[in-house]
Amino acid sequence: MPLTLDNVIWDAEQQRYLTARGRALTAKEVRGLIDGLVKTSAARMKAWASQMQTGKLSVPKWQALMAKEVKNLHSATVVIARGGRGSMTPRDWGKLGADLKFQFKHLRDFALAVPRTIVERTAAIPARAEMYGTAGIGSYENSVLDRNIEFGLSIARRVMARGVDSCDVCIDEDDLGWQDINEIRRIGDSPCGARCNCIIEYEEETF
Amino acid sequence: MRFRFRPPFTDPPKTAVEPDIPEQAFDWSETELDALSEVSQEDLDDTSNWLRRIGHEDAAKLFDAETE
Repeated sequence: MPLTLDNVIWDAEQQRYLTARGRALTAKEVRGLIDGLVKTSAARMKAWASQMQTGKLSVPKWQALMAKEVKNLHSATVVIARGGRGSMTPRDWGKLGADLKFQFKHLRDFALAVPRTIVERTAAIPARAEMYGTAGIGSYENSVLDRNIEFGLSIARRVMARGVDSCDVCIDEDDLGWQDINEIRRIGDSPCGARCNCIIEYEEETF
Repeated sequence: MRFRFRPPFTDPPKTAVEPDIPEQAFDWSETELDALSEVSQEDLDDTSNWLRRIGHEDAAKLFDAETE
């Protein structure tokens, strides 16, 4: 069931979002919002790439649209992971900038590799573009992981998302169960890459 | 008998999907990548508006959350 929130605040002591009525949002609720957002944005990116593939959208126009979408999506996932705009530190902004630069480098190389002639453009293009959206899961989960390490949590585990296929490495990570938080493999650092949909859970729930 | 003049067919017909000029992707330099990756206050406002525009009002409220 979708949430309909009033204004929320970030409780730095509990490391949770609180609704106007004082209820703490659960990790599952916040991840649900992120999943919905990533799904929407990935679909937009895929649709633009389909238009570019068939020549309805020029490569530079598509590249500019993608850059804006990537910036919005990754800014949103990272900022939400850190507790909202009011909680971002200069270090957090620096990390977000580095993440964005990584994405933009890949986007540049992707755009430069698009064939000039439309007949040579294959359906691999929309599929690849969509991954810039699904990568939002990794930017969110890894930012929550960083926040929880800084907050002093010590135990975490990786769990495969239900209803989706997982790669062998993600299955192995799930099998490891609870481990030292510093040993957790980051989302996206597996063969499934930007398609990884795993969740990192914490012994003490923050969100 | 009258003949209607038809111009000689020289170039392939342009279709809606073939651009007139070659499309050139942006080959962003390191400096341009750095500039693109900077997040300004205006960018944050844009992101907040973008979240609402694409139908994710709740995510926008988390994004804009103030710290207690």
